[in-house]
Amino acid sequence: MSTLTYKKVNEDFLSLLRNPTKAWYVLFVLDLLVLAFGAACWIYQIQTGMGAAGKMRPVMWALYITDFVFWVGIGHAGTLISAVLFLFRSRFRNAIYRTAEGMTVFAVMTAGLFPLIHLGRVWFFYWLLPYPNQRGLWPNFRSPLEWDVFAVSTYLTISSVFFFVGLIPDLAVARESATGLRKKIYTLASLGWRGTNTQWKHYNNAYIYFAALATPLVFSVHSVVSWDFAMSVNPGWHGTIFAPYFVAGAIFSGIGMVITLMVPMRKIFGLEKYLTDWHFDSMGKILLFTSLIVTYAYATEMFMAWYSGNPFEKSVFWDRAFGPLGWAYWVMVLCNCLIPLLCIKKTVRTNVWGMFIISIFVNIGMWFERFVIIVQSLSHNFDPWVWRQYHPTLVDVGISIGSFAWFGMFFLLFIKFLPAMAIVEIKEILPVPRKKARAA
Amino acid sequence: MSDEINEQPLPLRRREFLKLVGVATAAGAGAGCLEFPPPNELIQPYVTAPENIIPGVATYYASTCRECPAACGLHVKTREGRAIKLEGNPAHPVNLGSLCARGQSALQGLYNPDRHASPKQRQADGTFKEITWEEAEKLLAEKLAAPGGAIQFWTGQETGTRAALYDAFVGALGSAERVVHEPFAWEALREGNRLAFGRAEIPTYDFAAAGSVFTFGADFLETWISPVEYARTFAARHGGDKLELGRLITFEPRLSLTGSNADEWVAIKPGTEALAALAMAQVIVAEGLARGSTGGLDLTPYAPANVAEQVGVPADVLGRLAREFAANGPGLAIAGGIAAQSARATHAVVAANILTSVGGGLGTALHFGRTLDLGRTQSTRELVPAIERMNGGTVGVLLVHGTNPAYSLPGALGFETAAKKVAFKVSFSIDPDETSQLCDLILPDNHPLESWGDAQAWTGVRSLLQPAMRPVFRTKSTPDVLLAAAKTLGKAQGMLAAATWRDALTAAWGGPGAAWDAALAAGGSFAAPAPGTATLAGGLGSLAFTAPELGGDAAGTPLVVYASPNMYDGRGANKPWLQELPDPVTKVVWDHWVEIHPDTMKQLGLKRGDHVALKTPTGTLETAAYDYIGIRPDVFAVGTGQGHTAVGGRYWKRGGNVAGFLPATYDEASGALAYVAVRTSLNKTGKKYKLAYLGGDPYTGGQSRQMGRGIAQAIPLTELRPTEHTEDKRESHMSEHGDVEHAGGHGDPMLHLPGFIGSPVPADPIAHAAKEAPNSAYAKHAKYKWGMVIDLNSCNGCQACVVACSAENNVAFVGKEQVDKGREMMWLRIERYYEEHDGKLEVRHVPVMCQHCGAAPCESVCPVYATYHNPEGLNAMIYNRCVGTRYCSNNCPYKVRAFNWFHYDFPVPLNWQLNPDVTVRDKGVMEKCSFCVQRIRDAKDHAKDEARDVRDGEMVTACQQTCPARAIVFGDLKDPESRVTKLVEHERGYKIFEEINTYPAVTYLKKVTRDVPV
Repeated sequence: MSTLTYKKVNEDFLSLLRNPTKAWYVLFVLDLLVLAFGAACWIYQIQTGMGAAGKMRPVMWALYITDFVFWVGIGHAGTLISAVLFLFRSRFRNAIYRTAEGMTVFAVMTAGLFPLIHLGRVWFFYWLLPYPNQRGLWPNFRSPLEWDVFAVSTYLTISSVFFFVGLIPDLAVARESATGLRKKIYTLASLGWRGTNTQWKHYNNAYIYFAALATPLVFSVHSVVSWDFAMSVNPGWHGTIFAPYFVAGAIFSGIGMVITLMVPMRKIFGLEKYLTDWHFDSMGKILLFTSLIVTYAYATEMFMAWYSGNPFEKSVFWDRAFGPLGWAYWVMVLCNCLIPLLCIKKTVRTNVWGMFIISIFVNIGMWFERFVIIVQSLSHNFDPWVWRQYHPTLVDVGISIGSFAWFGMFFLLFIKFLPAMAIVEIKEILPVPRKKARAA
Repeated sequence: MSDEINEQPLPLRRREFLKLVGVATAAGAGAGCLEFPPPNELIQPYVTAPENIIPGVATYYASTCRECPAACGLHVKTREGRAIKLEGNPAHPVNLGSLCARGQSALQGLYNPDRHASPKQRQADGTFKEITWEEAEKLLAEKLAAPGGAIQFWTGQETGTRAALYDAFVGALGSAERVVHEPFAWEALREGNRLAFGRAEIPTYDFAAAGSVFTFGADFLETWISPVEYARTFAARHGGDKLELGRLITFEPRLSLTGSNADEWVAIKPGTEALAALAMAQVIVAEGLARGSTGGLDLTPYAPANVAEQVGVPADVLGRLAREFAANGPGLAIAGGIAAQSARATHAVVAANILTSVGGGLGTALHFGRTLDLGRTQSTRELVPAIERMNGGTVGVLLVHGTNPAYSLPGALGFETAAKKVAFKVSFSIDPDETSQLCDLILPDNHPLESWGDAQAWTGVRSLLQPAMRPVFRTKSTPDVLLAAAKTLGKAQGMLAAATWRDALTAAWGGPGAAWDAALAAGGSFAAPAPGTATLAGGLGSLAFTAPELGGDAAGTPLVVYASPNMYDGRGANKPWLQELPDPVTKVVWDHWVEIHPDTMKQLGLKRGDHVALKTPTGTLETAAYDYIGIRPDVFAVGTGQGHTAVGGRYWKRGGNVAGFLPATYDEASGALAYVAVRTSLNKTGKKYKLAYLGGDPYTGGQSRQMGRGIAQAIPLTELRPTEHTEDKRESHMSEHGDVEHAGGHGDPMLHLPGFIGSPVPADPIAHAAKEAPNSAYAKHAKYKWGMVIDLNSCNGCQACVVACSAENNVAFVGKEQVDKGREMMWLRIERYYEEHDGKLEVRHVPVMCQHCGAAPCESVCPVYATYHNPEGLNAMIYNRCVGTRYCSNNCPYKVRAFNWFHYDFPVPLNWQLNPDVTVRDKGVMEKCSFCVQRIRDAKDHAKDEARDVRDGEMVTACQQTCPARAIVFGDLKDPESRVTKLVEHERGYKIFEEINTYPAVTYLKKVTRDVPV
């Protein structure tokens, strides 16, 4: 990076905000088509009833909650990178945190849809919100689903604010070279940023403050999500390991998603200067570490099922590995436990496309982890009389794929309208510019 | 506004104003009356209320069930002029307040959207045109006046005044004959009793008096003669806590629901019932244990060693069972069910009677104190001449009422071709069945629930039918049509002179007056049962007992045809409740299947649900394969009642018609149609097919096994501690159950009484102390805490409760495809588990509904309080609050919550059956058993009106109300004297998944297995 100057950085990133290419438009339209299909599926489901999806007794939750947990989990890496690594002064975060943070906001926005989509009577979703109402009824604060409402909405609020605060100096940079309507919007959004010392002082204080506020959310939100399951009585769900296990899984999947997003970005926009092997090496280490935690959790679950002697637990975990959904379990083990082990070697971690492929597997594996936990546990509950296998319908699948399009739409807009990397923070790790290079 | 009025005071005085208002109102009302076309129907209160109708209060009419010849008494619950539920008449001696699934579903016959809605005449192009009753009756009279040949009047089994009227009508017509065709008319049973006892009747079978019941294919808990009554008397001795627990051994190639309640299932070869019975009689006689004669029959040729191979059961098993039968008397052996109706069916009945005789059951368990009168019926063989006369072209007019020969007779008899040779055919059918589709004129009768009539159940038990509501459709009572025709023809003499059918009926009951009114209110006139005797006639020595020869390819597999408990002879097929009600043993819904042993399935390379064709020389039956553990490997079995072909039926065209495909072979002695008659080949058709069934999919993990989870628990008899008074009360207890009335009437088979096994002391006092749920303090001040006890030793799995629940609570039916997806809505299900010990199959039935847990997992997880615990211990469900997260169902260990995946329709007029006291749920809402909370409210309101508390036994849930076996008890757990409180403490009591600490309000009493050696 030594060849980079502040000016070059400005130019590199502001060039990303220029008019999109044809490829971008094609991608965007395709994305919207998929999204429209997902939306049509949802509308159809609202009209005909939840039966349009493949759920039944006993599997009353399936793909929607799987997707919900998956997307919430994705979000965690962004917060980890932007907040936790900031507090730890981890320098490799500077280049990736903006994208990761954007990903967090969009992932939480996606995740937040699913609790609505899975409601039998979505038109009454606001009954879950605590506000003084004519029904004279508060929501049930004992219900983990109610905790979800708070966890997810808090998470969305904090991560959006944090995202926005981080953007202010960069928006000011963008403002300088923008014209027309864009200029007005950037001007408004940069809140009169002029880069004075006082502003920098306040800015840095605020940033640390928000980072400190966001940090506990990395742990609390996914713990709360895990309690949707752990607080129930179901074998396969009712485990004390769930909160740490889910948090590790969330960071694992989130880092996976960051890599999945950054590798093509780096290629398409020629950001090799900014996203170096060093970044992927560091992310590979986190990936490996969280993969090991997740593997440990899987092993612990199995061990506890056997060691507890609880026949229901034993049965459900035996079925998990060797029952009709056993294939999904082994897909999960392969993707989450075995393939990430490749990251032990530094040559793998610094091989960008290798990391990309691994990250795809991690995404698949983590989606299947949630699928297995939710669907398999429910299908093999207490009463063998009602055991039954779940078969997804077009509506289930359409809405799930649509959720990726929804996320993709925001991401595509993001890279064209906001600085995808933190210009200011990249400058922080550059040599301070001088009129004349000092002799060495 | 008020300012304006102040500024411009009306130029009217008060009186003038009132006058004007009055005139305006009257004018408006008048205009409203004259308005044409009439305005849309509005919801408004009765201005002039019809008599006997108080809005919001149910009116009950006593009537009689006509879904099978048993003639159970009904109480038809009506609300605002519409019948909404059928319940048993508690005063009726046959059913004493219970009603089976089929009986309750008669309501869906009444409101069936496929019913003939008006008289119809066939047009030249073969279609039917609706006509008026004037036209129709005129046409009928014309044709009857000039029939152009003989007249045949085919009817179903009828007793009482209707039968008399039919006979009078046929007699008045001159060249007319009445042909009676009832598919299940128990001809072999009556003929066998004629041979054995000299009386061609159905005697009293008192299961309560029988220490041992051996059944040879008589499915007395499902279709055999009077299932509701038998279920009750059987449970009185076999269920509950009796010390002298009755035994039931079943001899049948295919395990029926009745067989699933047996202590032992002996899988004999089809048709060998007589040999098995005689072999055991031989052992009893040879060992000097006989307590009655053999009717002069020399039993030595039938010694177990001689017949064991034919019967397919080892000789020592027959010997052991014979000794048990003799030791646990009095013994009752019964035969004559549809599933055993072979060419030797009558002989099987005779053999069973001989076994009863040597087992000491004559006069106690079997007697002729009162007999069942089926009226005049004809065996299938006796129909042949009548069909031949039609074929010969000598019949000019064919009248058909209450029977469907085009469906229920074997195709080989050629009823359809013969009927087509009759110039003019008239159907009085309620439904568009196969026979009515052949006819030229359809004069739909009123449904029995819209009709006057009477029926004879047992001798001395005359049961009345009265209309519970006005006809739903433009139908007319057939007796009235016949009376009118007789008048037009100038034949109105005798009984036919009556102005209306109601008059004729009243006259037959001794005319209007106090006696008639009393009979109407009571549902009939019921004489007390007379004690009776039974003696075996001599001269049975001339009878030869052999196994029947089965027709068809000798290399084929014998086919057993059994009477479907839900479809019966086919009349259940158009009722969605019965189609959606799982078969009690296979748990298949909305379909037809052939039962094959799993090993045979493997050999044939079949999987459950494969579409197969059964071929016999007389036809092909296409159906689906079902692997059933309760069948001999060398036998196939199919049920009756499906495979209708009539056009326009939306619920009933499923599977194949078994009766139509059978050859025309008969029981040699009685002429009854032989249902066990052929060997058949079986081939895959290759068509894609799917069976929908409950109980999980064996191929993807669902099981019919408990997996050691203690859902349906049992306890060996030896482990139950006899109470202190056992010994001295034994004698008196024995005499207590001399007759049916006694056992069913007062008998509380579940309550702990001296002489009963089981102890009221809880097995574990610490567990007892912890019975209150930890968070139940808020319920401290409530007056009641509702709870339920279900005795698995009495429950036989008949599922009458399931239909009762659906009827009471407006539970939707969803159809085959949705059941296949696991989306059935039933609030109550009977789980059927198989247990195998030492190669012996034991079946356990356990009714599972919402357990109303004291610490309910569903309640804490609902984010919107749609389900919560009320102070009376109910796990309440507020539909309007539900947003449909379905978390409650996920967290319910019992999985008893049903979600409304769609909006479910009740096609008009099936929606008329909806109970106005219960909300109809729409899509997106969770629902489940409410312990019939509307009935609880009703009971509490009544009690409040009378300034008292609800009495024990006053509040009865729908399932409990109809249970023929009296297996369910409901009541207040805070009342120390209530039955339910006492039973909760019972030694046999347990709760399902108690270890999860859900504190269920439903206690189950373990089934008692009889492992006591002889």
